[in-house]
Amino acid sequence: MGALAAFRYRERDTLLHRLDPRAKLLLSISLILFLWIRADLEVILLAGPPLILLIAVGRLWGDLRGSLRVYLILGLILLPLNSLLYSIYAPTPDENSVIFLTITQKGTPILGELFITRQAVEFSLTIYLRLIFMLLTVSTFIITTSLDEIQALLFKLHFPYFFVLTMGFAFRFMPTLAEEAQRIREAQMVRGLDPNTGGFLRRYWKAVVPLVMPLLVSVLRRSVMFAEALEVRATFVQPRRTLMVKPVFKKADVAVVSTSLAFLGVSFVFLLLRPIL
Amino acid sequence: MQALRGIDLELYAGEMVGLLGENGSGKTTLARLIVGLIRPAKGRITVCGLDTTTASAYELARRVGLVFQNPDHQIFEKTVWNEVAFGPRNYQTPQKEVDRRIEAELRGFDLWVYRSRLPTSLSGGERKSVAFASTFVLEPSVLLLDEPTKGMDYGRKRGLEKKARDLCDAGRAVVFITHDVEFAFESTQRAIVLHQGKILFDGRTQEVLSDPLIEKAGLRLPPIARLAALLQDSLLPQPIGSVEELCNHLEMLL
Repeated sequence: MGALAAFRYRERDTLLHRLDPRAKLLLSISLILFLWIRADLEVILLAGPPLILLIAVGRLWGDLRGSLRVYLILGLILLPLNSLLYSIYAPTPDENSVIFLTITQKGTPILGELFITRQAVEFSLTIYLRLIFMLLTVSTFIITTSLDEIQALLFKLHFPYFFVLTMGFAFRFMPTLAEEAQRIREAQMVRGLDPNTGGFLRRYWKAVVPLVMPLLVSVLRRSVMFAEALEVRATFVQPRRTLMVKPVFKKADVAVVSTSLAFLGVSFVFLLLRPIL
Repeated sequence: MQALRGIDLELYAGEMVGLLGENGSGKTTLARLIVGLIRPAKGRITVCGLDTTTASAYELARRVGLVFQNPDHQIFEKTVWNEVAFGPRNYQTPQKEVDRRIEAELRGFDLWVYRSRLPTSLSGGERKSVAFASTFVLEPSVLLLDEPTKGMDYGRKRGLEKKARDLCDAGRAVVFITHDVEFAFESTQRAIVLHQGKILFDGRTQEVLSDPLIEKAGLRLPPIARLAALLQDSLLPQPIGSVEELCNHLEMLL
């Protein structure tokens, strides 16, 4: 559950939290584009310092700790696997390749020639870092931007009112749903349901029907009630409405937007220099 | 955050207890501790000889049953019969025994005519009765009912009280976790009042719920106790426990 803290808004008074959501979105998009545009280790590593700076400014280390642990475990699995797979599909190593590992059986390489080259390790590391950096960028945006700000942002970007409000409701009800799911699990456990015993199919059956069915019924009931409550308060009568949170551009936002545009420019130059990988 | 502090409590066989208190006083947390859904940070809870810190919820469910506030949190089967059969089937109870128990519970809760109906199509009070029946059918020694009278009409409330009384006569303990002071006043023999995670009162229901100090725990004296309290100073010699008792005293005075 600690990993999920990286994708949950935390109210805090930092420069990053105070930024206009539009500026934050542009910054995140520029960082993601920068990471996506080239798959060179040197280029990907360039995104590290600004990302670390953002995390420090937003005081996000505590929120990211759980997810970083998960990413590390993911790396321990993905890096060797990816290196091995890359080595299998890559052309036979030439004299410039450095072979780290050759898998043999009684002196003969198995599965043809199974080896891990330096290039394979480098490529895997690049892909891994790109993924982690992208996730951290998304986390930075989500942790520092409240749902009200995201809604205001979408309104400003001229998304339809109905879509923005519905999306907001969906996010708002997530903790309620999680709590409800826990209550349902407990209600079945006190009637003797033991979800941790039995084979895979039995456990699946035990989990799916008694836990999912009541949740589904409950969600449908709640949705109908909620929709009626919205209607009696004339929620969708007007095509637009006033905003509770009004984003205002400040000096810091202008600086962030300028930096983001500069980042986008650099990305474009990189794109011209070499094709997308 | 500490939800409960310094709780020292014993429940006895054959007792009908009312557990009362304002919102957030720790009533539901105490119930979840007793059935082993959560573990105490400190201290020990023993249910029929089983330590809840070591026993699983599966083992405990046979000895202590909990009916949650919202019946929709547990209903999933296609018929009322199957819903009630869910618990005994989890314990591989022989089919004949399961059938016997289900019939008794469905008749006891006036649900026999609905046995083939889809439980979710029933009214709120009927779904609540299905939830009661599906826990009572396990025949646990201790029964905890969380807000059992919420959304129930008078007839179903009295039916529940009668059913609980029968269980107590058979040597089981029933605990009503409730805000319904009137129901607790009329139905239970012992009342425990929680306030900010601590026991404020524990004693005979009529005495506890006639004490104006329960208002400190966000509870209101039941009408009969309020009336008795108003009359007590000038006319009545002792706390009044029921409407009949009050009538007798007034008759004597008149």
